[in-house]
Amino acid sequence: MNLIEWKKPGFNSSLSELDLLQNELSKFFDADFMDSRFFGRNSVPAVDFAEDDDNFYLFMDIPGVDKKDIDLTISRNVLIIKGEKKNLKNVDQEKVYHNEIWYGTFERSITLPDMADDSNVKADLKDGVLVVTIAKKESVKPRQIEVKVN
Amino acid sequence: MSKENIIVPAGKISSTKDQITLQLEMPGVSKDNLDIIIENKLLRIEGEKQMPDFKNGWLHRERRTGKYVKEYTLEDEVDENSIKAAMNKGILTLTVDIKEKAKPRKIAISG
Repeated sequence: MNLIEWKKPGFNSSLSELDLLQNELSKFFDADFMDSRFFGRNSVPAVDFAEDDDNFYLFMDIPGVDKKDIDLTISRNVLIIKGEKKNLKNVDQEKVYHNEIWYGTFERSITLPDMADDSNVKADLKDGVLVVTIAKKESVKPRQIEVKVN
Repeated sequence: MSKENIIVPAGKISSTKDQITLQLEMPGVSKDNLDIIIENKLLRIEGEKQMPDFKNGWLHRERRTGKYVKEYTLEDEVDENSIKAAMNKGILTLTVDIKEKAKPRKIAISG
């Protein structure tokens, strides 16, 4: 009678379970520790990026941040957003029972598409959301071409 | 309408001897899109996150979309009629007074 080694379906690797576990652990330690999964889930605030015919739009959730604590710079099509989220002032004799709110500095740099006009940028802060509007270069905007029929 | 995502906002609870303060981070919510409901000692906070509609214009998305929801139970020690709410920079701040009888008090020693 022959004994055939049992293998999990779809498990063709020669690695043992233990090796696989070791790989998973290594992945964990190889990960960038500044990654938002590990520390300060808000220290790299989430952004959305969108476009319409005329502009690009960047949205960043930064609740509790003052306009004066945000620093926006743009050079060579790279937009850098730096800021600080300050701890709300502590009232005298206040006891904190539970805090999930993160405070500290944050920074994010975003490379803009080539067709962004970095000399035409507007920023607005509303309801804790930063909205940066970057115009598209005139030359890349869709335009209507009139067809003449003779 | 598709099933809405529920976002649980990050919060902070603190107190002084007279008041309990609750802060919730709800970026994208203005005071017009916020509901605060008290029913049978249950405090329910709902906020609709306003997202522009770019249809096919989204190039990259990381922000969560949906509706912020958080619920708390109000203990007997707080006066639910005293709740005040303010929305500022995407942070909702609620304050509620602690009832007089629930406050810490000093007992004089006689003799």
